Amino acid sequence: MTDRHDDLPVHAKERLADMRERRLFTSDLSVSEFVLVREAGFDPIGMVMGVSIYQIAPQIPSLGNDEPGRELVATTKALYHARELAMNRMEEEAEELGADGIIGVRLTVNLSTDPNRVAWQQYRAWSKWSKQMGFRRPQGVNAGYWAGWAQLAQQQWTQYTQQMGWQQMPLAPWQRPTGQASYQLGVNTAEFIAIGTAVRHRTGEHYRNKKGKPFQSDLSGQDFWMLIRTGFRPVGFVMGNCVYYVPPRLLQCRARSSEELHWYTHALYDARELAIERLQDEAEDLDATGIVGVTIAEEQHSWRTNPWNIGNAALQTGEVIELFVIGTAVVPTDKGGELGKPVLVLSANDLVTEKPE
Amino acid sequence: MTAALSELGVTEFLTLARAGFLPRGLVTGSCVFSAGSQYDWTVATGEIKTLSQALRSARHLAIERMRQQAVQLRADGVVDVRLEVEHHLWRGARQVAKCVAVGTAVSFDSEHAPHALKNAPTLRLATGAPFDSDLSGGDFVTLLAAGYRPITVAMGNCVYGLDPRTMRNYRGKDDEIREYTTAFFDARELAMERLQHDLFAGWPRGTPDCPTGIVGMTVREETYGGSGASGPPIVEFTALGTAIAPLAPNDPRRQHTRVVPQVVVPLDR
Repeated sequence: MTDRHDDLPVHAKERLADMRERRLFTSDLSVSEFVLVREAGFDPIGMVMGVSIYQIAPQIPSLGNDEPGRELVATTKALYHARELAMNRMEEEAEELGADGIIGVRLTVNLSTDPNRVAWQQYRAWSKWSKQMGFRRPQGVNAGYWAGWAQLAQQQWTQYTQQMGWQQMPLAPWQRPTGQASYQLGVNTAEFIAIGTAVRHRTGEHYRNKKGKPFQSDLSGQDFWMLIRTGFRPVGFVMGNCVYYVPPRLLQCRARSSEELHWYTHALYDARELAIERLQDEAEDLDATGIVGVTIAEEQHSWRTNPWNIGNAALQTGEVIELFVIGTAVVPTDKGGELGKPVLVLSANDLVTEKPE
Repeated sequence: MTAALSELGVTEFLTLARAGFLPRGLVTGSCVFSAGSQYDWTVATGEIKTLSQALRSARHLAIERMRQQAVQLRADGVVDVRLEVEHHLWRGARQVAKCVAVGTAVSFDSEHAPHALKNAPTLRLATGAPFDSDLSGGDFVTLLAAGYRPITVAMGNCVYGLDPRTMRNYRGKDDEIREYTTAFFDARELAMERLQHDLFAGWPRGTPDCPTGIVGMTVREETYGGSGASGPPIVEFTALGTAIAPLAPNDPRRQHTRVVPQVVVPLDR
């Protein structure tokens, strides 16, 4: 079994073997989720995850004047592949644990690995600070302004520390570590992470999907419980994506009349439909009867070809948009039941002053 | 009884009080330590063992000091533990990290407890030490009702450095950067593995309070020196969760309330 998953690092195998042997489970479920998952007849057996760091090289096509935007097929495939790699590794970890499925899967993309994006965030932090402190914005902001901002920022910071009479110059607010980790791995790189909790049915009922793999699902423990109780089971995490390019010409509005930017509309429409179609194809592959919890994310990624003009690159090189849809495919089981009558409650919890859960 | 300081909200306080627990006070522990300078660090892709070790002991010290305070307050345990690390750049390139653990000490008060729980055994560990957990008061009570009790905050970490030269091989390609993937994957796994390892070392199999699971586990990542740092990226991964064990078979908390999930329609908001 272990030989098949040579994709996993040594420490992953060690950790999982240790967990199996000791019968210890780890999980990122909250306590309520933990209780509900057990109530549904499953036991959490371990936290599993997969990672992929991927470089996406943007290819901006040169389109004729009469052409609308089009899909960037290579980039679409790359972004899909990156997520697939992360999810497959997570699945392999779950298989090592002998799981029936993975719940609470979170698929995140960490874009802070791109130094341009980090620089842009710093720039915004500086301009906010500068405005607050009453520094005047230089006149004539143009393309060269971007290259020189760090110098100007440093000047302002020096001036400020002198005004305050500080002996030492601490790091400027925009240079301080932010809450989110940023790595500066390289231009156009991103980290794709999939994390979830592997579960197994307590009495050994068969819950694997058609392909004999553990099911994956982004359902929370609460949703999972409700699904199982009402006679459905998840068979897999299905996704579809589409990266679409809109040339700058279509983003500019020259006419003085109010009208629909119909090519732009068409581009977004087309991208969304393509992504959802791919999602449906995946669900059909798993013989699913339906997909629940579908989310459509419209992400404007920072895959940029011009590193010196990241602020308004859309107007120069055009917009690169990714439509990403994801959901949990489900099939009915023969053990459906009633949830019971819903109870109306008026919570006495003070939602404003108390800590959110 | 003297007044006790706590960070608990009203609902959280009442939830705990209904289960017979009263706050004994806010407990903290901290540790400031030097984490070397940027020039000490290597540029090769791999774990920086000295840093991992330093941060690990700093965290454990902060938690240990917090536990000591809880012992002095004669608490049964600490809930809502938060562990925060701040990185500062002092005197040029010197990295200094500050580790703070904060929690609310609670103890079981049989006088004010519901009648069914009057004779409930203490939740202290077999050694007499208080338990600690990063669960909120509400979660703590739900856990007890489900037949489990918290044992300790489990923790593991790993500091990893990356070689920026790797990127030269990937110029202009649509491809996975395998070296980095392996590095980050490995680092997260190491953090989680250490969490398990430390837990097993503290509670070998068969000892009383041997944990059976970990809930609410998170893996956090933080960069050294932040985005302003020059040089290779250095990332710390920290895995944190609460180790739990089943309640004693004769514990009345088990039978007192069985958790029955119910579908509710909230009318606020």
